Amino acid sequence: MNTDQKRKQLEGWLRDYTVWRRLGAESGEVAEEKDADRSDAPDFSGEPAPETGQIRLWPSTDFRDPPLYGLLAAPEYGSWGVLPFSPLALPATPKELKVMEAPPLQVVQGWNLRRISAVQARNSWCAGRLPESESFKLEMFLAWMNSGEAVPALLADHAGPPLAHPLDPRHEYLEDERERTDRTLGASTASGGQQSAPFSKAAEPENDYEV
Amino acid sequence: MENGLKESGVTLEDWRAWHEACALDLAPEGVRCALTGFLGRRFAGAVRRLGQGGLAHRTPGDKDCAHLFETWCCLHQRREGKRYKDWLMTRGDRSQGAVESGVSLLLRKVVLEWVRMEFNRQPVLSLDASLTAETGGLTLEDLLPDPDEKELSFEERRWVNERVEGWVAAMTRVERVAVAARREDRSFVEPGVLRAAGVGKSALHNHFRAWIRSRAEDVKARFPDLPPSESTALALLILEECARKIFLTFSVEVPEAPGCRVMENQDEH
Repeated sequence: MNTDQKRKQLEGWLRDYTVWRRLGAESGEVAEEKDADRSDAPDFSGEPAPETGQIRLWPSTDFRDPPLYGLLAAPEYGSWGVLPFSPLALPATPKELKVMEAPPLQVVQGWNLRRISAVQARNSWCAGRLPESESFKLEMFLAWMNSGEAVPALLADHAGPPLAHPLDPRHEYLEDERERTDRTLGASTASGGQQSAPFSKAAEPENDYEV
Repeated sequence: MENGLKESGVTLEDWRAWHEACALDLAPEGVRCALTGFLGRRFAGAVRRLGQGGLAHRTPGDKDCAHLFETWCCLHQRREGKRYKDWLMTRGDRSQGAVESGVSLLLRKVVLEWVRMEFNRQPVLSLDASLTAETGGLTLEDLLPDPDEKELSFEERRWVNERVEGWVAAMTRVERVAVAARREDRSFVEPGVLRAAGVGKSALHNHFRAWIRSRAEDVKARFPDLPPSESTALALLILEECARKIFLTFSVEVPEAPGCRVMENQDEH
């Protein structure tokens, strides 16, 4: 992908982001509400057990947030990797990957990879699966993220443009998304996007543990 | 009012009936009409907030808005749809207000997708004009400079090297933390960064932007005829050199200084 194509890609992303921010402006339609009674929490008992490649939905804990969709990556040492989905349709940076075409779930945030406990993985709704055809692309993406190499040609069309300028509005997007994920999954789940999360067909964590 | 009318004929019972049915089309007629009208009004309200007269004129009818809502939130019979509805119906205190707040949150994504579709159909909307405002006046060329463009000259590099010490000496603690954090690709919301800065995220952003813009003005005053991409490259070099100086000064000479604490637990997003 040459510089002109990258600029066009960034232009599309900036247009979406502009609309997204304006739509999120205070409208009075999202009213502050009382917290749910703990005994009244959603019941996840009927949900299938977490599996690699599942798309799970976590209820938001802040009334301003929509629920959080995440893709389960392979478990490591009893914890699950979660790749949150971006609210936007285009990848913002090279560490975001477009994995599906149809809304609402299109782009995963590799930079925002989280590690959650088995209990936290179970306390979510199972909302679908990543198509088998996309698994290889995602596996390659996760392996590349820790390599320090340039984006492989096979991924270049599906990943976002480079982020270099210190005043680029994408910095603010990254921070907002990081905060949103912290609010729903907890700040301690942040892995910095540097740990590997191999996308193999493993089924269950080696050990479940309670938090 | 909890189970009664809240907005033009919609009740909490209507939302429950929709939750029970697999889709709006399968809900009783009264429920369908009430919720379709509600979704149409909220959709139109969101489009109005965009401030695009041309778009408001093309807002779909209530029925189409409701259809888009169910389609793009996958609220039909598919598994995803059931889960979204479960989330909506178990939000907060499970009141009508909580459900409708949740609908507005989901509509944000629906309207975004609709705008994308409309823009692709007619890319003359004035959205592009607002991009410059969103980027603080920076162009796409500034944000993504051509890697093949001419390198900075010796004179430009020497000018930066001569001034780094003065720039860093004049920086406040907040500016030092912001510059060091940005250079390390660290987020302004990280607790460690905020602790070191002693201010909130917004203030940190403001200080950082002001400092960078001030350096961009220095560049313009010294090299008034530089093309934008070269000015950006020079501003980036200043950021890099100042961050390096901060690191050396505050982690070696004065290890307890607040500016160096930002270097602890380095990680990247």
